[in-house]
Amino acid sequence: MKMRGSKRNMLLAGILLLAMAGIGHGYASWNREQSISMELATGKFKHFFSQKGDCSAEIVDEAGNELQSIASDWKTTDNRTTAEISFREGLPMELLAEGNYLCLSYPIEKNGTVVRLTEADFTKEAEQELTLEPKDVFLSAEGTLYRFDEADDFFKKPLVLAVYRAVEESEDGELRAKLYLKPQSEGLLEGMPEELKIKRGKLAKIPIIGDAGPMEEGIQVVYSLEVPIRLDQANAEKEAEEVER
Amino acid sequence: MKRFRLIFFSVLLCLFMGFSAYSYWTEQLKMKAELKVTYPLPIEIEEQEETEESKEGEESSGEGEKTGAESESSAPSESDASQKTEAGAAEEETKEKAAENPETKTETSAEKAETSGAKEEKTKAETAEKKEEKTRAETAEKKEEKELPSEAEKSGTEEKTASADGEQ
Repeated sequence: MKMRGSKRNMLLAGILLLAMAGIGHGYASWNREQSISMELATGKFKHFFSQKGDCSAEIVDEAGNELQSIASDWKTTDNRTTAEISFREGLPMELLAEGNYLCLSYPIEKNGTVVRLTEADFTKEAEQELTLEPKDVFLSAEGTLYRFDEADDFFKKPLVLAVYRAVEESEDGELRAKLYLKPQSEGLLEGMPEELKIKRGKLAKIPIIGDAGPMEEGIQVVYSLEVPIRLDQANAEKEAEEVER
Repeated sequence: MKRFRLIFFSVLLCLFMGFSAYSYWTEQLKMKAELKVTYPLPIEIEEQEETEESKEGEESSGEGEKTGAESESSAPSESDASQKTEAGAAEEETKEKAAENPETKTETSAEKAETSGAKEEKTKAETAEKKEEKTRAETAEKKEEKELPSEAEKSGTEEKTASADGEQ
């Protein structure tokens, strides 16, 4: 009797084991694990000067009309966050003294979220005032450029410039950073000597820099300038509207 | 005290977060330039000093000539000066001659120059004519020389043909 009962138990246990294995195998075959990965990051705002497009330096009036274009060479440094401009010709002080602006314009490469566009408002006070000390004084005579350290004190005065900034977008979608510089002090040419008399022998002793090029006879004063341009992100509401569109 | 510390650090944290967020959402670019501003100014170069120097130079060169050192690299101004002095001396001579012989015609330096110019032209024309004549004569002589051997050749061939006829 004892043997018969144990056999029955063994059989039941085996059936149970088989059933459990079958259930487990069926569950495993009809189940697949799936995962969803997601990455959340903040927006990017890393714009820099573009190497495509035209850079320009021109003298404009208050309405923005171009009066004269200035030939210049441009290059970018510091991972394209700095634009260096070297003028091939001098800026005529006559035009600047009449209340006109020197406009430096450089294209910006978009790399990130929307940039807030700003316009230069000349009716308001300047955003910044720059006082530039003269670096070099040159004399242009008979087609030759001389280093003229003995220039009149008038030419050694610091130049005060009012700075206006603008970030504009053209119809093509090109973003441009613009810098407007205007001599701040009124009567810039007041007190300028009417004529410069120099003896031939003295001129011969002055070190020659090179050919005067297109520069007319006169005095050329070189100032060193460094102006920051700040690009801000456009406000969130505006951005949200653009996204909805 | 603990509450005060907590507030202080939370304010500090907020400020830090605010600044870092602002700096993240702004980009600062720079523009560097060397402004060359030109002032229109008429420049008058005085030649006084140079003329004085040139005068000094002339004086020194004159002294050199006086000493008898003849240099070919003398300045053109110096040669002009010497020419002028010669012309002046010639004029003086003519004046003296005129004073001695009032009936004779006095020639000024200008007239002399004209006459000398005319003479030069004449001499040039004469030399050109002479050259042409010479060249013509030479060409004629050459032609004659060329013709002579051809005639001799011709005569040689005639003799040969005559001898051949004789043999026949």
